[in-house]
Amino acid sequence: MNEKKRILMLSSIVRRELLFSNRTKIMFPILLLFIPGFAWGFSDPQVVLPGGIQPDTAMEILYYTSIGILFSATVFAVLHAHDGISRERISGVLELRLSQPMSRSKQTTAMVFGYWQSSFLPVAFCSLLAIFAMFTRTGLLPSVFEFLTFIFAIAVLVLWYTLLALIASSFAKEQSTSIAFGIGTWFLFTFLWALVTSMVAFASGVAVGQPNDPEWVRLEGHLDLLSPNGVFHHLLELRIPDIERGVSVTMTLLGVILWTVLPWLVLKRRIQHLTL
Amino acid sequence: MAEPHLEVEQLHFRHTIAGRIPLIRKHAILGGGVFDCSFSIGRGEILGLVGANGAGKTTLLRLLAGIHAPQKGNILVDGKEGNTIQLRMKIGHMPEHIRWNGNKTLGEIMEEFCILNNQETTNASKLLDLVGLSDQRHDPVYRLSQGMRQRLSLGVALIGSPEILLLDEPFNGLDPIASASFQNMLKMLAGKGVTIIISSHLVHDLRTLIDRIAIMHRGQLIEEGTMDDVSKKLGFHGLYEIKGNDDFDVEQFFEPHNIVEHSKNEKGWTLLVRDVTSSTIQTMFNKDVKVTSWTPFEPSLVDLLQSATGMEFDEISLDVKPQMMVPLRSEVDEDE
Repeated sequence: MNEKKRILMLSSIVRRELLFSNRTKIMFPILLLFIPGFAWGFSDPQVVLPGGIQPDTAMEILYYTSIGILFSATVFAVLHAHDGISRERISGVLELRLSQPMSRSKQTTAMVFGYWQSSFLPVAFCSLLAIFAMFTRTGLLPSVFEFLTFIFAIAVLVLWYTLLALIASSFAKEQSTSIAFGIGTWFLFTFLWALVTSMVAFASGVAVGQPNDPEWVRLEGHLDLLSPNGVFHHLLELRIPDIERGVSVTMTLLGVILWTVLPWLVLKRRIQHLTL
Repeated sequence: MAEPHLEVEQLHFRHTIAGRIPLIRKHAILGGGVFDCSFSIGRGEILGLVGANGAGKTTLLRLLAGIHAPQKGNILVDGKEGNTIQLRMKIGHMPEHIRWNGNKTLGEIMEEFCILNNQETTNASKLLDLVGLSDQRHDPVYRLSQGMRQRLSLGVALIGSPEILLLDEPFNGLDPIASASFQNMLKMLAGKGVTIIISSHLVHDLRTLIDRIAIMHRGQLIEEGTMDDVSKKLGFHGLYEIKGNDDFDVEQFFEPHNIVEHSKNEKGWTLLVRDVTSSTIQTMFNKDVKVTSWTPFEPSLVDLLQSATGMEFDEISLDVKPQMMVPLRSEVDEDE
């Protein structure tokens, strides 16, 4: 058996276990409500968003639907992976796993893929339903490139939260700490990031929350690169020409690479130095 | 001893305890561990690793299993030192207390560990058969009894036909029947050339099973050898425990220097003496001393530790403070 096959087989075991777990059964209706539900709402021809905005292209509708993805898919990934390491550490299974003749870095890769797939597949399914809902209501469909951008953005967003939750889990030695770390991270980037942005803007002498002030828009755009949710939005904005926040394509892609590579390296290092 | 199969040379490892400033290694405190531990064991032999709680048994097994990386020293299998993965391929490890839970079936767990061990998943059913769990193959793991969980852990440890088996407190939670059956299985494996190291704090459970014994205390291996050798070395060889009712004059039958202990309680008396011959016992009977039993003395872990360390029972029992642990014999690299 080659290493690649072993990694894929191990990740499929994690995926199988989690896809049909109670967590998925509980969270799936929430995903349905937040992803296809938001798409259905934003596809209403009468909808007018604050600032008089009316989404009129498929990508714009999907962009606004991404708010539902940020609220539901991220917490779904965190709930799946928050005890990925700590649960096995407590039960003693981790000790058995680490004594097997497979390098810790490959075991980490298999684990990340497994947890990522188990969160991404239901979210991707709901995203397809969202596109179907949009099409049913408006007759609009994204282009192939828009669709690929949308799915890719969701895939990396789920991956980042999976990695962050697993890192938190590698520090925790009992369940409550791991869930506190995981949910805390989610809370910071989903709810508190606006506060962080406002504080930085205030400290920099930029007027806070002025959508027409280019300084504020630029600052917010750049600070968003430090948050996974922000990079996710930057990725979607690549396909929306009307939105310009002063962040180049290169910077966005660099953000994607850094948000993927850095947490992955941290997790790999954590597992390699993990003591029981 | 046969040709050494596993050799451990000057193994040294200390746990790092997080200091007041998290993640700053400079502020980390060094805790307990294993200090300059050396021993060797022949192919197909069973070594009993005994010691009180916190003596370093689990840490030593984790070092041998490649879970912790030794800070110093070598582990050689068949005289060769390999990398961690090569070592793990030869070793099967059964940690203490695995609380198997979740909805996975036994078959799925075995298959997962077969993949981790780079073995064909078809081996899973054979191993479940070997540990007597083939009927439970499709049962979710949460339904298993404690004994079955231990068997499952053994089954996982046996994946890949390891040459060396490390078992950490394997008899915990097993009823006497399961324990006996487990011991038979281990004897069978040893007969097939598998070298086994069993850690336990219950010497009695190991007595009929092991070929050699190693006593650990404060992270050090303080005695190692065959049971007879260790008994001789610690002064237990030739000791007899005689029990009986009604009081009598002990010195009438035994020289004072041969009497190790003479205790009395409401049930009768117990005598621990050396140089007991059948004629001594016969003489006691002839003089109407009510002897109820006489057996060679089997030292408990406390007896072994007391004798090996020269410490009193209270000192040993209150000694389990890993963060305060310092080696008995040397203080090499204490401040590294």
